[in-house]
Amino acid sequence: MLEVRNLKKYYQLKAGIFKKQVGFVHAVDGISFNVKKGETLGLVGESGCGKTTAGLTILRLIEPTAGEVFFEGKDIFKATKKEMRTFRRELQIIFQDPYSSLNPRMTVYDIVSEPLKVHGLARKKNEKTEKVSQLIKKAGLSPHEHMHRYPHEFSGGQRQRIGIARALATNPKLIIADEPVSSIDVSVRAQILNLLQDLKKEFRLTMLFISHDLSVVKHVCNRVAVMYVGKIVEIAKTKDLYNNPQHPYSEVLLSAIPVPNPKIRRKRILLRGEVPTPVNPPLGCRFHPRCSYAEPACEKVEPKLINIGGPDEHLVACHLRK
Amino acid sequence: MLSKNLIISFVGDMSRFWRRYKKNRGGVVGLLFLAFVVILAIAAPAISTYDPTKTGVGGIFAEPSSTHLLGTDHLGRDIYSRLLVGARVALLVSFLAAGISAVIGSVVGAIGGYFGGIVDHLLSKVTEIFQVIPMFFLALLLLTIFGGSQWIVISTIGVLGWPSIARVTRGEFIREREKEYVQAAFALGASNLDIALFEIFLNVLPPIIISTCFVMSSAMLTEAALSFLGISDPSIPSWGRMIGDARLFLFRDVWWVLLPPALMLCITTIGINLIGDALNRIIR
Repeated sequence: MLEVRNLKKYYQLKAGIFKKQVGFVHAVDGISFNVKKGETLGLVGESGCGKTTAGLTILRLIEPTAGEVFFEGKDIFKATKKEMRTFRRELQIIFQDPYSSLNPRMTVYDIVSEPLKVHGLARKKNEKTEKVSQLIKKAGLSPHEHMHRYPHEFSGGQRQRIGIARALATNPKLIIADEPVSSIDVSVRAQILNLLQDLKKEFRLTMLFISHDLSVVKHVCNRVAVMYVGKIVEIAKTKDLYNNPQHPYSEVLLSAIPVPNPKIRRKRILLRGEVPTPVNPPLGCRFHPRCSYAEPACEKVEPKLINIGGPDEHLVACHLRK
Repeated sequence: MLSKNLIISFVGDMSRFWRRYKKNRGGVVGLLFLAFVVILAIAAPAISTYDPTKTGVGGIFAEPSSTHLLGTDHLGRDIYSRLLVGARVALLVSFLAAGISAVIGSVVGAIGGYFGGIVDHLLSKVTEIFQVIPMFFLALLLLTIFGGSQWIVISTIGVLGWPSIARVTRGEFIREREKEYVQAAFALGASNLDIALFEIFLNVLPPIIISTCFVMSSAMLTEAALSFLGISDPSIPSWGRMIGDARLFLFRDVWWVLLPPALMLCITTIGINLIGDALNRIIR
């Protein structure tokens, strides 16, 4: 349903009084994946690995440097203004920060009805009010009590519900959820995640779920793509990835998930060194300076994503898995 | 139901705002000053005692008395009545001129700040050029060319006063543009105009209002200065003109010709500035 091919986003780095270009930040450096209809694909990685940039670029909220994104077979990056309007209706986003993503001077009604207004989905006033209160109810708020309040009167979790109601207003087919729970209090995270799950079923949504929280991803996603410094290193079914990670980085990442049972002792793999800067990513495999299995080839040749899982598709980019 | 709730929330906002405002002593004083002048201006026809432009309604330089509350000037015009009409002139000119400045300034600033890049660069340069031009002399020049009718005075002051508002608006737009709610509006498919007008503008309105306050008081002073120099319609009793006339007779010990318009000008501009300062404190 959504196919991303070789997507790249570089930011120019300028320095000095003449704003000379001194290099690029390789925020997203040629990633490819697809999201199948009805599934939830998780995009995980550390902060700064480019996962949010990828999400925003797919929606053209940031202009891409290169690559193609197909939504139901049509290229989003080549869309005309008119086609773009359709894409805007069918693709929606839920933002990470429910504080800055809601306009502080608009009431909940204004915020949720805006997509209806923009796309002319409810022309009559009572029709609009009806639709808005439905959406607010679906998002778990009370239309009667909350509709005419301003965002600052709500808690983080409630604000995220408003954001979700807004995203659903256009009846989208695909939603990109950009770390929807990472800035929400832990105690209400589960509620928001369950809400997303329920709405996903009800609205038959497809979802790209961007997160750095592996336990959340495990709970929500069908398949997971792991990113490291602007590249995808592994894509697999959630179960396969968590039980049998193939890329050394995924292995390290999964070993860092806290285990709630204190009696279980587990081997944690500690990495040496720091995450390389995306300005000058390492040649060859980006993970090689920190990888405990690295071979000479890893320093020179960049590994490609290849399928090692047969029909279940377990893609990994590592020279050691062939 | 919809409008009722909106009104309730608006009234709530206003009362919250007022609770904070009244803690600012300067702001309250400023409001009293301005209210005083506004009331005088509104009540002018009712409480003035003579035709403000008619000469010889009393003797020349008659001292303040019960017939002429503030005495008369060198042409025998009643100063009290002229003062009241002067309040109307001062408020009208400064309000309209500041309004013109606010419209031009916020449009220019909004376009520059919203689009950025080359557009912003050009508009910023234009703004800077207007800012370095000595505004007062340009006004003098324009008024000598086009004549000094009141409307020309208003539009000249208005057209010259916008750069400071444009700079404030631009800065605010640049800051707001980066916020996620703007990105959210893009994701919904809202147009640039929608976003600038209905999303961002609401958020940058307070600072624009505040800088308009300061432009308003400086517009009032500019009008006074132009009248002082005699470059405006002589048939309109403006405070600046009254001060300008009085200047010629300072040696005759006629304080009532000079002091009242000067005081009025002072309290009005001080009042507006105090209000501006108070608002500024509240939103920062």
